[in-house]
Amino acid sequence: MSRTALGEFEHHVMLALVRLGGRSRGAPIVLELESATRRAVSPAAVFVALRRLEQRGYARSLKREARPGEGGRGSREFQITSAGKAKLAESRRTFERLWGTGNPVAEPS
Amino acid sequence: MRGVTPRFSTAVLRALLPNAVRDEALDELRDGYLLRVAQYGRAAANRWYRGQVPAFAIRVRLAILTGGPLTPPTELHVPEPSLSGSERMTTILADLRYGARALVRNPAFSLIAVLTLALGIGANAAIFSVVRTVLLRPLPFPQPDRLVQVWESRRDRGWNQSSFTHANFWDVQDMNRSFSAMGAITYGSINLAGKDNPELLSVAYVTTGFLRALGVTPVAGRTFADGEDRVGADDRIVVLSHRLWTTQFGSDRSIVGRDITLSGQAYHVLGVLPPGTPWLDAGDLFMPLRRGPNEDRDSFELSAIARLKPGVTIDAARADLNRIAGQLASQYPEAKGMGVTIEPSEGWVASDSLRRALWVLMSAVGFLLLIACVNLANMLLARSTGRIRERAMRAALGASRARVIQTAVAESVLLGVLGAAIGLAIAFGAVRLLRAFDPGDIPRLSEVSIDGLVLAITLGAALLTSIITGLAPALRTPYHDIVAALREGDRSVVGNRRTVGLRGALVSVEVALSLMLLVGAGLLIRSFGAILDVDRGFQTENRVLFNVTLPNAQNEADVQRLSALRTQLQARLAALPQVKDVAAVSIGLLRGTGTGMGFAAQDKPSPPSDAVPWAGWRMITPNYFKTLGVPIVAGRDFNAEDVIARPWRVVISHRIAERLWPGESAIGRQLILWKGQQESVAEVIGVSGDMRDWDLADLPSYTVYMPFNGAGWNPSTFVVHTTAAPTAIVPIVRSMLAELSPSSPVSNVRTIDDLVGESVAARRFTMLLLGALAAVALLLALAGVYGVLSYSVSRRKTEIGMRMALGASRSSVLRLIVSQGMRPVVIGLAAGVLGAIGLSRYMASLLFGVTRLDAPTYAGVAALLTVAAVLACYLPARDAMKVDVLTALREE
Repeated sequence: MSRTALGEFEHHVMLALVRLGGRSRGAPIVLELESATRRAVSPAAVFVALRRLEQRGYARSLKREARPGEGGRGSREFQITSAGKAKLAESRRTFERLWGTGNPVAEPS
Repeated sequence: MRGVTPRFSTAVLRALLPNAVRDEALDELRDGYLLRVAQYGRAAANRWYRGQVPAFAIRVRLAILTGGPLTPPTELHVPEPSLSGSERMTTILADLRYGARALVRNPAFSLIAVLTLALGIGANAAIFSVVRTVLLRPLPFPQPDRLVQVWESRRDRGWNQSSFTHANFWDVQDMNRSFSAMGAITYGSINLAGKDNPELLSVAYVTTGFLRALGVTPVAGRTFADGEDRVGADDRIVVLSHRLWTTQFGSDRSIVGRDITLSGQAYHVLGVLPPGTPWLDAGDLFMPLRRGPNEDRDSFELSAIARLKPGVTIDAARADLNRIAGQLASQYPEAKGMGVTIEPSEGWVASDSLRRALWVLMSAVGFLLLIACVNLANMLLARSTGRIRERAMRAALGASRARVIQTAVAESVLLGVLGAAIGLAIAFGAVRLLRAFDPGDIPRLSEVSIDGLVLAITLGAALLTSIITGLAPALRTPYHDIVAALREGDRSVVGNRRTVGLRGALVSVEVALSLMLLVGAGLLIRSFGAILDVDRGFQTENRVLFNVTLPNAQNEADVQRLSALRTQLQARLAALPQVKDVAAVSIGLLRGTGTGMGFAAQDKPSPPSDAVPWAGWRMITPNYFKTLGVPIVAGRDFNAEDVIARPWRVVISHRIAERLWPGESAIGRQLILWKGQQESVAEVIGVSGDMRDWDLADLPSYTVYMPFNGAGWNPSTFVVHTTAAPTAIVPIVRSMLAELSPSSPVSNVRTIDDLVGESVAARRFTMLLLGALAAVALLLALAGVYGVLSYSVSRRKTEIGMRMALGASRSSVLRLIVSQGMRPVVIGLAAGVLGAIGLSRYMASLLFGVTRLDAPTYAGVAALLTVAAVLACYLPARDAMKVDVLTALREE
């Protein structure tokens, strides 16, 4: 398992992938991120991030050829791997430890 | 998918991207583009797409420069050419689950859809069961297509079908070469000695060929053997009907070979017939019809049937029999003009009018199912407009067209199966209800049940219906233009224009169909009202009829006993304080059949023999007219001194007097009775008021009345007019008879009100059924009108809000909505009126007192539908007026 921590954007992409049921193509992840962060998200960034996550073993992908009569060419579908889930859990614990039980930061109102 | 994304930007991007990721990147951007079109519209999506072009190219190249090449997919999955069976099953199951979730999510929709379908299917299954049992089930005889009914005809007298005379029947039976067996039947009655009161049983007298022609195999024992109808053979033999065997003898097989006592005589039981309709239930008992030395060729009494020899056609048989008839006609003066009519056995179970009525009902339930389907299709279409985006999205994200359709159809198939299940429950209930409402003259009604075939057909109809209705909206998913669908989707004002047009057309169809049903029901209701309102001529209140039989009345001495019994019973009854009037008659009222004869005036030129008018004749005791509340228009009633045929004196109904001696007095004129037959000449001593005493739907009868006194007619029908509760008189009659004639049973006790009710029971049955069907159809059509309009209103909230914000008055909005909703209704009304005018000809024979184009019915039905439809439009319109301008605008 890689010791390198997840970058913030990579972290977001993985969480979005989890929220979409653990497997998704790129475009829905972009939308999911946009609705969660309320900012425009670059599809190119997601495109690159998904492939880097795959290189690190946190995701795998599957490309299906289109069947005759189906809409679209086969797009690449990404799935989170068990290593990916473990990595997410680990970073969550790290965050929780750092936050502790109290609320050290007052929410700006 | 070419041309989905903006062309120029795509070309630029294609040029800028590195080869390794080009296709994947373009796919990804296309997906994103489609989702954005769906969410934000095409213009926004286009802007977004153009913005991504440089960013995408730069980012990807930068990433490759800094982090190395982007990986290819871990796995490349090449699909098999098609799904394997188990995979297909899995997708079907998944689709069914998906469908079930969709149905549960929208319970109101699902409930209405399922009930709509269930009503249509239930009504069809119920009526189809009846039609199948009554009309389609074959006769309970082997090779029923070889069976025929044979009639005499006398073209010279204008008779196309008449019963056979004895002598003619025997001659035709002996001389024909066409039939393997031929038989005749006639009817009588006999007393079965019972525990308390003697019971009157009906007897069918049949020739030995009769049951042989039918091909009946007895349940026990045997039927009549050849020669047992000969004179001199043992005439104390009897075959039991299945009904009598089960009700009186407890299905006891040992009854065969034993003797039973009938009218004081021992009769030997030969066997038991199987159950069934027709003929096998023609009598409680079957006895041999004797071949006597009866040379009468002028008294038409026998119904004849026959079985064609193998290879002989009906036409050939007709030619053969007409040859025989020609011989008989030249040989015997009474047989002059004789011919024969042969009819196939198809009409034996159901009369023409019953057939007609049942087919009308079957068409009506067919219409109802059609309306239910249209309604369902409309509902699914309404919802599919709301879900077009869902499907377009699935198509855009790679689902095949077949798969999208499969998902949509799975949902409607679920609806169909649920509808069929509830529909069958409805059908079971309906069949029980039908049997409970048995009007008495629908044969085999008690045998009607929902069997395997009906089940199968019902399920098949449900599946077919639901697949078709589900397919229509699924096929409307615009695969060719997914982007447009995604953009338009839910946001389109009321679905695209073609869908709106289609839904309006469906509403029109519903309205047209239900208008036709309502017109049919309306015509029957008006007919029913007319028949009850018709001037019957006789009074019905507090009047009861019953038959009194004198057993074994056969010879001249018995004629005296009969007359004496009638006179004594009449006198005793008249003496009771609760009896106002009492009389006896040979044939009771409203039997639909009776005795008849040709008649003519002695002092007028004779009409041609085939144009001799026909009158019913009845023998009556004095006081008959007073008892029924019928006036003597001229002359006098019979009195105790009048005896039949000594001399011939008659009272005639007013219509006869008007026909023969219009504008003159009929009293004292000479009337020829049995014109063309025995031709007795009678003096007219009175003219009575007219009565519709054969059938209320007929014109008032031509009736000739003769004195009952001196006639050997048996049984006598007594009519008693009481001060109250007429049937209370019956026990008193029984006790009087116990003194006067202990073996005489009282039977067929009916008040005249009952008789009137029974005579219209079949009409009431048809009318109620068609009325109920029409009411359901109306409800469904209204649901359709309401559903379509309220859906469109909910989709147009914004527009309506804008209109109101811009100063439109509530009434103008109301007008707008209602007129929009009424447009398809008006088209449907027009189409429905035309359809009803066309279809009503098929029910013309079921009508009475109204024409099939009865304007008030059409106008009333159209008005009812219009009012109801306006109401159905008003409800959504009222919702539209409640639209809060700000909320509506914010939703956009």
